[in-house]
Amino acid sequence: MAITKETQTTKIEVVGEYKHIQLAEDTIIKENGVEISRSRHRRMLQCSDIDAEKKQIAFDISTESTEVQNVCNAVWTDEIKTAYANKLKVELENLEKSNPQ
Amino acid sequence: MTQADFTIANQTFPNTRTELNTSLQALATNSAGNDAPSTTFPNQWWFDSNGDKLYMRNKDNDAWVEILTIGATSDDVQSLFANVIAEGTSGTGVTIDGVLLKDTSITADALTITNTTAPTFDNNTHAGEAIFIRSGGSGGDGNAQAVLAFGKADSSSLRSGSAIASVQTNADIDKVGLGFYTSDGSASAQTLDQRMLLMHTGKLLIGDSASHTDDLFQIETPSSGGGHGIQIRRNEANSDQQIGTISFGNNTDTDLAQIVAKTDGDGNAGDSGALLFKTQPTGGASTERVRIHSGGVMSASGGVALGVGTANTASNILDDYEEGTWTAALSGTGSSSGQGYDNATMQYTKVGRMVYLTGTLDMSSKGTLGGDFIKITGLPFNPDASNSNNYQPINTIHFNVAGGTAGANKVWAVFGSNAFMYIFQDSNGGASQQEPSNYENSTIVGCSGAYLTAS
Repeated sequence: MAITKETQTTKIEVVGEYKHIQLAEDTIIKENGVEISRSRHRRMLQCSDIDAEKKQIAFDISTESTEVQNVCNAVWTDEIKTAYANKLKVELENLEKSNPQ
Repeated sequence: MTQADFTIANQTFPNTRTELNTSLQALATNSAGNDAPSTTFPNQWWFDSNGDKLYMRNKDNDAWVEILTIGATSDDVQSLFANVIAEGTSGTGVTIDGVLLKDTSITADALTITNTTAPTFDNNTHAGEAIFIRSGGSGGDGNAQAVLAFGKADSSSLRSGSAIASVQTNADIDKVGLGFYTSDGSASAQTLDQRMLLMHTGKLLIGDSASHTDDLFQIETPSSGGGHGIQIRRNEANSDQQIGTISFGNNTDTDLAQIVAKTDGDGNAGDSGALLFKTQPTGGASTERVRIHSGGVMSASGGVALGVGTANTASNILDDYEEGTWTAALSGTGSSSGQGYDNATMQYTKVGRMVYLTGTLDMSSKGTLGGDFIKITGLPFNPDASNSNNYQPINTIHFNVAGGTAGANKVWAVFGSNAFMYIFQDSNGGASQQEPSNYENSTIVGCSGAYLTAS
């Protein structure tokens, strides 16, 4: 009786205006090669971010698989990255207006 | 070969004796001769020694009727009643009762009947029919006619074991179907019972002689003694293989919808089955829509429309359900590093567009948080951005935060298209966004709440 555990990225979804990447990663337990359990973990990758000065910075995908990186690089155009960074910047500025330091 | 005129002349005794012997020999040999007897009588026999044929004179004494042909050397009957019905004539022909045809020299076909006329299925002219059989009986709904019976292996009694019969399937005597009969009793002598009936309308009934619906195919299972319905099987035992299909089509396409059974492909020995339902959209191909897995779980790839009858309006379709985990992380709006957690694994349940979050973020170190504010990253699904009101609050309970109980009244808020949540604190005059200093190294947050996704 051999129990094995493996992780599969079962979904790589490009979603929304800013082409966020939704990842579904399944942990699969098998007994003698037959799946007996599967659990799912989700996370999202955003196309860009901003720093403390609200300047656009890259979202780190260096630890992602080549497959995921390829999808990210295919859909995350400079225009998309800039648009999302600007969205975050405006969002924070609006919040700051309602939350003066 | 002796033939005679069967008239004894007025003559001497020796001549009389000779003529009597000749007449008796003519009777004994059926007037055998190469030519027909010159003097004929109604119903007279004549054996054609040249053609090896036996003839009988008709009652009008104006023609010879061929009865049979005997092989010149084989001494068997090679044809019988060759002129029973003359070609090109119509009429009642000849009725044969109790005729036993047996030719042990023919093993492949006991009886071959050939009609060279193309079938027309004209039941009045019978043109092209190879066999036309009739039995006795009277008209009436359900009454049988023309029974063609098949024997069973009780060779000593020569009883029939099954039969096919013409059956009147309507009160109208002209509406006739075909019945199939079998013997299922244990008695050697029994009455055959009808098992299948092809009605005059084309309906096929199995197990019952009456049609109870408008359906073309009806199966009635017995009230006792077991018996099911239809079995479609495949003579293999693979673990992931189609077993059978019921297809529905019309003049446009043969595969508008299908019900398919297959083995479940779950790695077992082929003893689990799944049921698949397929439909074909306009201009598309037949595609699986619903599957009932061997374990009882049903998959509906297009979703389920609830509360709208048979309509499938988009707003009523539940097309997604998922359970899983996500990992929450504390971050500054500018940067973050060094955060540590005793627990950061959270749960989610997605029902349609709604994502319900729950879990506990238990920090061991808040690390370095850059930027003016703090946020929680790791959301499992992209929040909907169509609502101009971006704030979708997630209820929280905070422990070990700066400011003690006064600072514990915080919420996490989901914003459209963000993979994270901002953190606010409820206060008089409105919520205030939380800063890095508002969390402590040992902050614990329990959360529970839902937000909407775009799809």
